[in-house]
Amino acid sequence: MTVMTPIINVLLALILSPLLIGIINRTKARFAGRKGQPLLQPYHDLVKLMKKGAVYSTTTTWVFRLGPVAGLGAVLVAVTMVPSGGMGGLFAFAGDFIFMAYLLGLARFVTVVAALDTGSAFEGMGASREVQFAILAEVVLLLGLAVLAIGTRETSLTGIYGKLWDTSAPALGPAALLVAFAFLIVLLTENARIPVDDPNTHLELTMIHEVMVLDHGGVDLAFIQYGAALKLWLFAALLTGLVIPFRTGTFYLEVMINTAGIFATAILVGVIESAMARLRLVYVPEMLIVGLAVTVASLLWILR
Amino acid sequence: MGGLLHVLNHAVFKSLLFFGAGAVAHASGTRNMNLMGGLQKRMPQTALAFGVGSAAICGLPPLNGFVSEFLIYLAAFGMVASGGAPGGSVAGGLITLAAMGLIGGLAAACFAKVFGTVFLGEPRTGQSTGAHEVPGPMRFPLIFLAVLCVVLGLAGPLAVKLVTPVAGQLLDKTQVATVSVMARGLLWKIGLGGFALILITGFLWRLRRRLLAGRVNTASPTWDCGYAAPDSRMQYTASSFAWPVTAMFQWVVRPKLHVKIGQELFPRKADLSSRSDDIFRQGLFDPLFRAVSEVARRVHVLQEGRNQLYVLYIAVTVLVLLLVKVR
Repeated sequence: MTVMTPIINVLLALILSPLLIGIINRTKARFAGRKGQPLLQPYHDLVKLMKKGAVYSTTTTWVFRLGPVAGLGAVLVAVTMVPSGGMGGLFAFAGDFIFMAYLLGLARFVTVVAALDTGSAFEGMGASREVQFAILAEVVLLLGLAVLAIGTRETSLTGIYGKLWDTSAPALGPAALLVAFAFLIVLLTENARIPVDDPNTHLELTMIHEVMVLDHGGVDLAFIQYGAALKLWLFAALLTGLVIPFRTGTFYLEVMINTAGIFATAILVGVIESAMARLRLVYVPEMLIVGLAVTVASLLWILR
Repeated sequence: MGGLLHVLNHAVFKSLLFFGAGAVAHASGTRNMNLMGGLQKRMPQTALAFGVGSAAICGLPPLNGFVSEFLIYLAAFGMVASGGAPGGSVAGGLITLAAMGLIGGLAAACFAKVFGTVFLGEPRTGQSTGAHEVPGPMRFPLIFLAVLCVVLGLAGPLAVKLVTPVAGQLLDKTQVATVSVMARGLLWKIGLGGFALILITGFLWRLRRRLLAGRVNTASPTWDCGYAAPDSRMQYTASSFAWPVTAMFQWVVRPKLHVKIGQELFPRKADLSSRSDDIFRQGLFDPLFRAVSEVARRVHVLQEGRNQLYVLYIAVTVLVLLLVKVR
């Protein structure tokens, strides 16, 4: 291990994350019997958006303009802390995942206030729902990490994921899988996927994330979409590290396996989106509570 | 340690928010935030300071609220990870974690609501249309405290140094010293992360400016989804924003919803209002204070108004005390 290797982790996330969206869309297209858009379509979209001018509502202020910028900034810093499998993140210190969780919280906060800045009833509605679900999702995420912290006796993401499937850690497997299930629910919620939210439309069906960014366009929208892709990568990496049940110890092998796992997660999300309909909004908190219950079950397993 | 630091930080951002609330009430002439909106444009400095305070109280990095919440979280995680030792329990740690996660989410929901409804969007009533920036002496403390929020957030270790002697008074001194050193080490990293965040955001802001310069940038009304007559009254209000959360916790908050729709085939007028009473006020303080005033009313007979009688009371009391002592 040299100092350079964790940087490769971050670079992979920066370069490959929009591809995840492409993979999800391709999977959904295949399920629907379509050929589907090119895998690299999200990159083209980002480039196109970056070339556009902007239309700003006369209602909005600097809060609206800061939202996408600060949101992407927060996610970029958060990504540097995520380990890839057994290989550490670029930044690792005791409690780094708290910093990560709160950076994601910051990204959400600026998006929500930017949505409220437009004065649109629609965006207010999306913002209101976003914060409601976030309350539950955050508890599940933190409690899940607590379970892993107990199991590995570590307090940093790198430490936890390094020890997770190590032979030295006693019988963590079942707990890790339960937490992985809870994290999958958090992933679907935080990234506004079916069954929580429908990323395809922004009217009627999609009443949470997409509706909040309804008034953003051009460069701002590109920042938002790139940030969303990175956030998906981040959660997929956390999930993959939990379910791949071995650690090779060699860096390049580990990175390859982990990247493959992240892509597999994207395919899984695509399959879920094809196989399920969006839940009625009132059932979303119930789904998150299932996640919480599963986390508590894994806690019981650890403490038994 | 984290707790003490949080007390200090709370003193900063809570007073900031109260000053801000005062400024808003002064400027708009109302204390009901459902009537406000759009104050950002009318009092930009107060709005900026209030925004910083809101983010700080939610514990968002890179502000001071995060620094102290981080230490509390870390202590709880440490307690959990070490299997209870030293001087703590796994259960305590877990409860702290779950509660803080929940409170963090609720605080974010609450302050996004306050900042959003009061300062952002369009004014909902004439009162906030006519609002104006408050005079300098009212603005100065706001700005000072907002700057303090940022400074304490980035220079967490210095803040820890500040509270270490206080913690030494309460707990074992040598233990506090080691914890303080460890906390400072970690907080430098948090501060570094905060700087990185600000730098990256600043860079993206410049990039955005650079890209947008020289392109067609237009201003138009907010996209209204084809609806022809949007109105500032159609904005989400504080109550409507909070409604999903209120409904989720209705077993605690007990919100009341009044819906009134005309019974004719084409109802002309409909009315909906919701209200959540302060359960502590209704369930605890009101009965308590009512009981106290009831007792006071009974005792009131004694308050006769004649000084001679009061002297008699004193004499009788002294006599009774004397008898008790002698016996």
